Amino acid sequence: MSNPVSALNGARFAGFAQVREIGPLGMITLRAKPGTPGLEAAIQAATGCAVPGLRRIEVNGDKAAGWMSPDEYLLILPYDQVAAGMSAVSDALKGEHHMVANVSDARAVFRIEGAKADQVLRKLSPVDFDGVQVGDLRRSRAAQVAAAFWKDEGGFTLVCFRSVAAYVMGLLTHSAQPGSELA
Amino acid sequence: MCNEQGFLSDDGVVARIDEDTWLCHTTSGGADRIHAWMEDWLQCEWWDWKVFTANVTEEYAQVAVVGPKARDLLEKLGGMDVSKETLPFMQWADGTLGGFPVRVYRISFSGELSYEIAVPASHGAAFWQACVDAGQEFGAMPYGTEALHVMRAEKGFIMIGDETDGTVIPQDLGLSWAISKKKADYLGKRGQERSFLASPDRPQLVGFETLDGSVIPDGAYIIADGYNANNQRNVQGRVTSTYFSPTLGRGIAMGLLKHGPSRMGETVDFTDGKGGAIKAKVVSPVFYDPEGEKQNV
Repeated sequence: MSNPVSALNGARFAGFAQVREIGPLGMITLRAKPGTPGLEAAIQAATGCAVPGLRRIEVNGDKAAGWMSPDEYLLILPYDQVAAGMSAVSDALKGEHHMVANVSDARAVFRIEGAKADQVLRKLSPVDFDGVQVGDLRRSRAAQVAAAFWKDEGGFTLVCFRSVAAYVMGLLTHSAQPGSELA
Repeated sequence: MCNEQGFLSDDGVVARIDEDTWLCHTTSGGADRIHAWMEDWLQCEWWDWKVFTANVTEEYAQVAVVGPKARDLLEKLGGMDVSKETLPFMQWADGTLGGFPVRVYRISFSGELSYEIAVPASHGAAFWQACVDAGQEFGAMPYGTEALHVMRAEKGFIMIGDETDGTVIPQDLGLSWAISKKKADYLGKRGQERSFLASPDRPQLVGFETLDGSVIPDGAYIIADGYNANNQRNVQGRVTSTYFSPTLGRGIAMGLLKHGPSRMGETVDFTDGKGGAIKAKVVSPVFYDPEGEKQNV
């Protein structure tokens, strides 16, 4: 048996912002209607987080819970804790209509860091970044592909489908080229 | 899967995972489209149904290990029981192979003993290498989509986008057995009841063997007698898939022919694209191992 590998083996680029691929990261898709009995307990058990509000992400160290849609949550935790996390979620929601799916391997994850990190993404996505605060999560596009990202004090975390990791790394690298700052 | 008009939209293997969970496979290019189709119906028409979907396509790397020695290779990797008794044709099982966590489907598109093995994508490259290494002694080698296309055609397996072009219904392809007679409704049922889709005159799937063993060109039409009002030659069908089969040493083709299944053994003319005609015999679309002996081992 081998160790799990990320899509780009930690590729990185230092431009006017720092871009690097991270992972493998544990990610669980949880689908349930808000107010489902056991939903709060499920998210708490897997991540130690409260249920995130509309377009927000709750963070608890290396774990997090993000709002992805009116009935979808993204649970983030260390890769080797996913099985336990899924089990905990299923137990808390036993008997209630829900879905739990492991998507840890389905995505590539990137960090975009630095004072001008937002400028890298402003050029790639139609999101109004003036309205994006720390703790906000957006599902949008990065040029031609679907991407979701959330903001913290140091910059942004971005996820995309694994099969387009190289394309997205190319976008982020190109967008972070020194001399192409927006301000 | 049909659209509301009744035409074939996509196809794939559906695996029942537990009491209320199904894992539905599509063509690779159709994954997003079919997911959107399901969500469209759930959100807009069947919003009171308690159903959730998730597109987990990229979660898995999937490796097909196929051929008479496929089981030998997997037994050499070691782990779960992949014998005929424990894992028969058209079943799936979770387990480990070579230390990797896997889901193994005993399904076949190539036509013989075949295992399609899903591993988490983060272990995909390593699992592939383990198969390559273990397969050395058996002469295993990678095969590409062109080889796969020829093998499935030898077995008469249809391919979305070849045998279907948006105007083809399951009944055109000899798939009436897959259409439920008991269901009150399904997407496409009303469409298929319309006169032109219910007509016995619709071109139907058969196989073709040229009299000289050559390969029928892509896009060739089957010529019928006479000319239409535009002074064009009439047609009675068309080729849908055409290849040289190295196994059979000759050209093989599948196509749609008016009343095809009742015209076995007849000789028809295909256009050669140069004003001439290529003669071919109407045959079963299953050219190789029609009893499935090599698959159900």
